[in-house]
Amino acid sequence: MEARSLPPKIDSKARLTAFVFGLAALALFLFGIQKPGVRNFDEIVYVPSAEAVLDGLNEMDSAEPPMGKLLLAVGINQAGDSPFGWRVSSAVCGALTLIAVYLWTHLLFGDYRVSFVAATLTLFNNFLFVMSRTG
Amino acid sequence: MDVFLIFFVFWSLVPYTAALTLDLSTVRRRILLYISGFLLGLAGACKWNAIDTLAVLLGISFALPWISKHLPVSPASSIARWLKSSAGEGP
Repeated sequence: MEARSLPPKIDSKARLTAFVFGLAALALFLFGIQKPGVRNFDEIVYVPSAEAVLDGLNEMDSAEPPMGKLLLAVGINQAGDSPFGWRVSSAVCGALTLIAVYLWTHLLFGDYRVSFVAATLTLFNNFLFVMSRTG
Repeated sequence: MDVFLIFFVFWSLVPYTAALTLDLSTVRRRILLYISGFLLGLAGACKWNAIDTLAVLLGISFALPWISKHLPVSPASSIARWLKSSAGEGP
């Protein structure tokens, strides 16, 4: 078996492209993220749990495991108890998810164009967009 | 909160796929699979939905080697190469 038939490793070009996609996603997800200024969707349940973590209270809701609420608490701790703070962790994780999508498809297909298309489609995926802008 | 689950699941797929597709030593392949499992565990620590993903991944892990043994698979496919290298037949 010839070595060149193996999928290529993640080279510097792939790493750079993935990084650019991550930056673009972060800019898109953070644009106007402070609106609406009130809690919506899951924020109604999980933001109070994250605030309880920061206050040292053991009052997390038991509907879901604690890891996500801890990540929300990191964002609130760093960016303040504001709409931006509630959502910044989600935006960062959403952008990092796009990097993972690019690297994953590059490992699967070993083709820059396929990885580019996959990451572009994911960048404009409504589910990722909404979830990355919700705490 | 769903994005945290997705974040960990996709990042678990990266080392998982690297372990299956790249020409690596057994030790490195094993380490990548450990990392993948750890990240999938973190996904499950965010939302219970990750348990479904874990079940699918386990199913795929058993199905792929079975398919490659019992059905005609191109010898150039990554799973075929992986099975050959695992059996000590080289990459």
